[in-house]
Amino acid sequence: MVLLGHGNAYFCCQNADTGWNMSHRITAIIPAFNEHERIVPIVDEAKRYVNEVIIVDDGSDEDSYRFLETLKDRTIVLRHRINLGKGSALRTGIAAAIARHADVIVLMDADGQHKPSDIPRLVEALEEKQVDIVFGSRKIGGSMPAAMRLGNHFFSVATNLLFRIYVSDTQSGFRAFRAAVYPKLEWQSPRYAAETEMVVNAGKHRLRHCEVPIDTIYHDKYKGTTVFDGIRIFLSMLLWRFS
Amino acid sequence: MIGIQIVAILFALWMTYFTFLHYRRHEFGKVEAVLWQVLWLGLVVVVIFPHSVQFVLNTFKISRTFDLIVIIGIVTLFGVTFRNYVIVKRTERKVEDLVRNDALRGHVDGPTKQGEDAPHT
Repeated sequence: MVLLGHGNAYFCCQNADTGWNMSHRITAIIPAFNEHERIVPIVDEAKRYVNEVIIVDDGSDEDSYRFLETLKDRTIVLRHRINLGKGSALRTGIAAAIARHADVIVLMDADGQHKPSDIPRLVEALEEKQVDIVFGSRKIGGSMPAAMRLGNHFFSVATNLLFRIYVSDTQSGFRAFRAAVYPKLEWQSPRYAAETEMVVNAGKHRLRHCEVPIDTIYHDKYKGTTVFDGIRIFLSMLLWRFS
Repeated sequence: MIGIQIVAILFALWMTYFTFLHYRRHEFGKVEAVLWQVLWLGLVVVVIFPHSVQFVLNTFKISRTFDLIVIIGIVTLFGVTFRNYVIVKRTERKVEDLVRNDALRGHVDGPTKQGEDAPHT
């Protein structure tokens, strides 16, 4: 390990397993709600690419939380006593990450949709392309459900028209950004609109951004955003635009 | 007296009882209880004597007492809805802060040594 020397904020370490070189303190945040079946391999693999994993249990039932507690030896587990929503859970995780001196924050889902092995590509893009935020974009077509494809396209066009920022997958939860830009990126939406608000805030503050294609595995098509969430998100977008 | 008047009087009496109940349970203060009782009594008076508010109808060019009550009801509902919206938003914020602070307690001190939580190799 080679210390680059900015207090304990920066350090560089070479992971012998993956060869992945981390020159910043990287923290992955995984919000979880009644999700324990798939989270263990995600955490274990993510640990290979980041310095710290923070799981935010968003008011899960007792069994799920008790299970997550068993991961405390390798991750930080924060618990919301009641369910607040994904956006709120992410904000809690980020508050902890920033307090623990994270430089780069990676957001990913707990349902196994995202491959932790994509983390290096996201973080590397931050450095190589000198951007503030990297959006993981799911490949359109293939296994992506048709309704999701249509919804994604609609939101991409809408954000572009309303906020002059084009992201091909505004609903993807797999993202990496510099902790320093979080105050500009910070969202207020407690639930699924958080992801869109993040894109909107990136556009409003002219943050440098790019997209990296990611692989996605759809385990449960009934989970995540619904059509009604989509309508709510769109109404929120209009509110953000004209307020 | 027509049916709608009877229904309105029964409603006002019912609300009078509930206001009294809340007062006895100490959920309302004396002034609060009196104000509500005056409102229900006013409703009974207007329902039994619709012409008692004729001057209001003339002033605002409203043709019937019933229309006046409906207009007041709708305006009040808009006001109450807005107030509820503000209160719910404020409460949501407070609950979120409370839950977040509770979740973060004991976790925001940060690592004590450089690299102590380096990835597993």
